[in-house]
Amino acid sequence: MRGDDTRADRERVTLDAVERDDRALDALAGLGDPADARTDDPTLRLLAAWHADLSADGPVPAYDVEEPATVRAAAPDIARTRRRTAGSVEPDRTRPGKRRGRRRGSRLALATGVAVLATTGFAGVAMAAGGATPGSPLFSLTKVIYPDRASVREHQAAAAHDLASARKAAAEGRDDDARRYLDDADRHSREMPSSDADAVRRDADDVRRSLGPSPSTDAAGGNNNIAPPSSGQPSPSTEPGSPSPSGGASEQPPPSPSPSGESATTNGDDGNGSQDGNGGQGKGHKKHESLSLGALTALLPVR
Amino acid sequence: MTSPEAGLTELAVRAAAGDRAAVDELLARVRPIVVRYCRARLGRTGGGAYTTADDVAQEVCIAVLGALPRYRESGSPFTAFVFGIAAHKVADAHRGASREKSEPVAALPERADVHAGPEARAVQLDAVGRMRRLLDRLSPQHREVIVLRVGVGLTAEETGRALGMTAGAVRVTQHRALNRLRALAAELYDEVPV
Repeated sequence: MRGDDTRADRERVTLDAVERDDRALDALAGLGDPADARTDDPTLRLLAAWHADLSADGPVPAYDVEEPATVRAAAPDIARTRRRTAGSVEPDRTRPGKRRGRRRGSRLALATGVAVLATTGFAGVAMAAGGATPGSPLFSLTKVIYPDRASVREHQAAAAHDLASARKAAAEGRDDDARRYLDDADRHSREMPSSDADAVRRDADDVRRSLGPSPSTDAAGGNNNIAPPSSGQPSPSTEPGSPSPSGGASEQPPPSPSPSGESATTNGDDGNGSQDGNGGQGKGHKKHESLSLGALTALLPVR
Repeated sequence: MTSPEAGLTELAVRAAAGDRAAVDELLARVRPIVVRYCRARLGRTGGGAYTTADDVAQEVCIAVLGALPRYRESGSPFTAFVFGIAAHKVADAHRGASREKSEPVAALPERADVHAGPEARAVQLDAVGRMRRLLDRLSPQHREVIVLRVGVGLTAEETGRALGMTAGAVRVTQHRALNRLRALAAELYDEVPV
């Protein structure tokens, strides 16, 4: 910036030119008077083409949508959420009206994501546990449409959440919770492409360095009832039979009853391992349902 | 014209306090902004789609929701919070960009093509490609101002709040960035600056 400003300072910066450019950019972004658009300037024309292109295949907020009757019947929650959202969101001014019809898929997915988030709350995304609805039509939808990418995206999203939760826990002095989240993030990272996995591990190590020395004797930090796992060694309850994404779903033992929400969360992560299997419809899927639907939201707008 | 940023901070404070309706609305409001930001920063992939940018946008939204409980204490404008997270995610994506050249296209839903014809499309994509190459040559701060101001479509005031600058500084910076783009365009493409 400094260098550019020094160079720019040599130019004549007049108030008039500054204001003219400002009005032109407002017009270009649809914020001002279209008469200020200055189509005679080739650079502004390029910027206008670029601006228009960014909304080309865009996913947009959920409103004014009629979803297919089958989906409406199967998932009344979606429709309810959609109607509520419809009342509270104003239309995206960047979107030409003629494209609305094409957006059904992405808006449905977004509404679905909103519905699940509304059910679990944003904290619930990280902490959601038992009481999941295995037969949910929403979860099936993701697996049917994008089984492979849903799985990878799910791991990425889950790891991101685990890292965020770990940072929060670390900031609040709950070191054991933080370590548990970090272990979960590591586990998800094994299912990702290597560069993503490296980024996750790097972030996880950053958080680890901020934690206290001992994983097992943290008396001060709001400890819970279950024995904390050491950072390198996941607790037994978190890895039953090392589930893999491609199979082994039926081998997954039922989650053991747990005294606290924390341990239920780690069980929820286990369900993730059997994403692509037929059987993995046990407890703990609620969290991943929401995450995979988030992934779906990103995937559907792709041409 | 209502800006995409209007009322977001107030909404975010309510969402951070646990108001679920506010969370819904916040997500619906933030997502298009984040998508435009990520597309502006990351562009189309080799296959010509915004796949990667939209995926990154989704990660940003999830990260924003995850970090929302921390927002209350920060006291900064919500857009600054969101674009801070988004900038990190985009940087991560740039680091990983050298791998993954594939375009997974399993079972895409069929859709009617409502775009302009091939010729008009080619002309438009050419212009977009030129703009992207020009943007790549800007300094980071000039680029960020142009991305927020033109790409996302924020006002000068909103861009200033998001970047911790005054609106006046944004206006001068964008003017300089535009002049730099004009000079670059003349240099690279023989486009005559006005």
